[in-house]
Amino acid sequence: MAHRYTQPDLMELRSDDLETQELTLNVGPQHPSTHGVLRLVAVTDGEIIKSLEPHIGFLHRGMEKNSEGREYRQLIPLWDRNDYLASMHMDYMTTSAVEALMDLEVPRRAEYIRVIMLELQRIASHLFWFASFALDSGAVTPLFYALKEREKIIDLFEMASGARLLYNYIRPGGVRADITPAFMEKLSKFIREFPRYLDECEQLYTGNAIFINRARDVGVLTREAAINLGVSGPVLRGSGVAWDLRKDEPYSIYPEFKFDIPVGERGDVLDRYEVRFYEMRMATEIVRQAMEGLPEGDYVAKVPPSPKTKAGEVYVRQEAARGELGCYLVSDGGRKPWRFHVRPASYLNLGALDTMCRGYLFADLIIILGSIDIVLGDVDK
Amino acid sequence: MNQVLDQKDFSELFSESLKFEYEYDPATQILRLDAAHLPELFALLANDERLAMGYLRDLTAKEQPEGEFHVVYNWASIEHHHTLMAVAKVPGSLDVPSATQYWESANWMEREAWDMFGIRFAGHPDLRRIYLEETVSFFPLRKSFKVSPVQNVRDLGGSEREIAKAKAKAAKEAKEPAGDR
Repeated sequence: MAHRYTQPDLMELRSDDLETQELTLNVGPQHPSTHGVLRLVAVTDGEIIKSLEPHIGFLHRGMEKNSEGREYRQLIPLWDRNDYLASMHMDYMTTSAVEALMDLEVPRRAEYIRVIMLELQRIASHLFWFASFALDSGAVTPLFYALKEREKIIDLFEMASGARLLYNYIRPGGVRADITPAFMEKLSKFIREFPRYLDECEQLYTGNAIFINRARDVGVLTREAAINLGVSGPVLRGSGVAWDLRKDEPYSIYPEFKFDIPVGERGDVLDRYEVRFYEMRMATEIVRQAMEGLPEGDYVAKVPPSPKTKAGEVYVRQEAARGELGCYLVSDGGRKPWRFHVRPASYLNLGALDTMCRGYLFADLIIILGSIDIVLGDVDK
Repeated sequence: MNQVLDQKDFSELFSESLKFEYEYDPATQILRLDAAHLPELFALLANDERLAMGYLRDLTAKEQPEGEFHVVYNWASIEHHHTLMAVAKVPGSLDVPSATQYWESANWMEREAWDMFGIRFAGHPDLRRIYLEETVSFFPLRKSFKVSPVQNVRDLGGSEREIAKAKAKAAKEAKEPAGDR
């Protein structure tokens, strides 16, 4: 005998008799998709995010306080642990702040070596971003492709500085060690092969219809909101603002190189993705130009082992892999800073996450977070 | 050191618009003023077409050797390619007007300045500590805060319950030293 269905038909219930309520959802602090120790509290209505609040500070190490008791030469290895995926940029930040308060002529060869290292670091950092972003959007294979290529850059850094992750290479007056002919040979091989590798990656992933459907028109940040929220780097350029400190507030010898600034149109996740890919191509181009123009000469100026600065205050900034990396140094004329403040790019970019996520699906949260490219060590200082 | 592409001399503009005492040096682009006058400066920077400082890139604080606090602002104009740094003297009450109604980027940076220096920003929508726990009793970037003597549970951000537990443990240990068992 067939079972008789006695329950009232659910389809006949009208939707406005159903009760709905906002739900607060917690992500993290220990979660594989949050790129470190980050807690996100989302208020959701069904699957739509109404508001989102990031809680940070789990990795706060008091680096600014720590810096006040240390000499400038000790600050370089301290701060290159801050953003461990772009150590060269952190080295250059400390160095340029100290050099701004010293009367110092940096040799041209040193400036060229610095530009080569900074741009290689940008490529390495963006490759790591590509690996983790692909994981965030559900693809595992690009991780192996990207890390294989990043390994070559790390090998180059190891040849130059002796370290694979935390380099302590750029220092007041120049760089720690000169680059060798063997390094140049390996570098030119890398520069020759790398654009082909990028094409391969784009074939593998950029044109993928599933990926495009997930990334397009998701996490939109308008141009006005981006400027007002103080975001920088690929997030700002993805929102259609052509603002790159290498061109707009130039430092080092960047005005001598020819390169383009990629700019997005929609300000969505896909735009940020494409901006970073184009930046890798442009960084390769800058390295090629710097290799061709590399002059002979000293690689470091004569600087005492523990340099002193003039009394004064200065705010220096550079276009790091994640955006504007600023440093505010106040000196009383000694060997130690009076106040050493760092403006990490990830900090303000993460502050814009709430605006980017509102109105999108909860499932989009992780891909939007991945598109910002944060390093929590950098955010928490 | 960065070169700014189109740095201008704002002396005239400031002298006609700012009706209070200030110091301005066009060579370094540093404007020094009292924090009480900040709302007038904010309105001018955000609304005046010739300045158009739309990008508040950095906000932090510092303590002077004599114990006075300064709040430091760094702006850039993405349209006009010029910059400005403002150094505002904080009054003894440590109350500073918030910049959040003009620049949303001030939100987190003011929370950081409150967290590290204990400077209160009047008009901030959500002034909580950002890095440290709410229960923490100190402001670490003040010069009066020394790094080494932090030992008790409250100073490490413990709750009332944890503090009571730590006290009970210490009392128990004082009664019967751990080695005797």
